[in-house]
Amino acid sequence: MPPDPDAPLVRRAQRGDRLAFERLVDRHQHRLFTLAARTLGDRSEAEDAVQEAFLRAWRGLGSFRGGSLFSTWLYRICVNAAHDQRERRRAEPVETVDTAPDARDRFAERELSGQLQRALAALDEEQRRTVVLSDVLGCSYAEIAEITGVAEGTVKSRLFRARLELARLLGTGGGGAPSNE
Amino acid sequence: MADRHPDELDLLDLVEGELPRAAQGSVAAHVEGCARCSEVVRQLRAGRGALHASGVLQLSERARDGISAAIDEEPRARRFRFWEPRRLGLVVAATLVLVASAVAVAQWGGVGDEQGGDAASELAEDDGGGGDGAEGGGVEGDAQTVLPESRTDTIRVAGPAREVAAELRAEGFEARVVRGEVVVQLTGERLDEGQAPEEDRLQAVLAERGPGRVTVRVER
Ligand SMILES: [Zn+2]
Repeated sequence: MPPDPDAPLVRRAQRGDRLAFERLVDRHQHRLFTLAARTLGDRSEAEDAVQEAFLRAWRGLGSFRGGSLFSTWLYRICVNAAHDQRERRRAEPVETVDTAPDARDRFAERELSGQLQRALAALDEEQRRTVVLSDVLGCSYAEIAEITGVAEGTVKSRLFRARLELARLLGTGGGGAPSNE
Repeated sequence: MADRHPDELDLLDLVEGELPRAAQGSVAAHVEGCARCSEVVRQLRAGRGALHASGVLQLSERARDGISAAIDEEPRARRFRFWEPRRLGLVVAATLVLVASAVAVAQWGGVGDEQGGDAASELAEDDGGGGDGAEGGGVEGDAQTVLPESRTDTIRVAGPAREVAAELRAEGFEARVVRGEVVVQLTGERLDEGQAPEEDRLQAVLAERGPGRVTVRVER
């Protein structure tokens, strides 16, 4: 494992140094937001998830032992916070004043509604977070395995499926699916 | 052309540059001569490229402020090390030492009432640095955390650098621009026990500027 560039700040934050933690937030806020937003497909829900993730990180700093990069630990917390956010949303009854025709469609029609986000919406949650961790945040197979709590082989097959699907949905897959022979 | 296609995950590894060197040549050679596999590789690259090009999204400043506000609502003065079991023994031991010395001081007619919990924790920390062997755990990697050390941190704020440095100097900091970065020299007070006033002031000045592209290097 390479030396963790966050280690000095983490040590200070673990001793209760609030300013040090603020700097860690500054460093990681946008990447965490990207992870949450691309997974949830909704900016405001992603903001909530990121806030929750940093709050959990602050509370749980004492349990971080440096066995992984701090960023890996943080991404894992964020993945869980985003997942919880998603579950909460699913559990919510559809508000009667809500003009959205169906809560299930909200993924595709809220703010993050570009072509890419629509393509991402067609993937399942695990595939989404896997490709974002890999292709936007630059995490290795091993890091993604640790963050998402699955074996590296699972990471690879998710990445494989997700990339092919994205290429197809974005029309960059060329002349349809590869032929069988 | 080989008659068997490589495993599809080998194609992924090829794209990622993760294929073992020994396998690289044969897989690459197969792909070159196989329309089906080269199409898969092309799509894998296209899928990766699409997301990669989308880049990192920016968290809004309002949401960033919300994070600080949420942490503000947490109980103050969290001292994580107290709850680490492996340190607890040391804290207890140090407290006992402290109590013993306080008793001794009292017997000698001293006052010694400034010795609060923080002093005990500091003692525990100092002991922790030198005497981890007491726990039988050997030298831990984080032993260095308890030693006073010179530290450099960086934070990125809105520029231009020259303006940031001037503003910091106006606030009484020693600040200069070095190769496009703002270097601030602090006096080196330990920051562990609450924030030194200069840290607070620095934070205030930098927070005022907001996040941006200029690196401010804080040296202690
Ligand atoms: Zn082939």
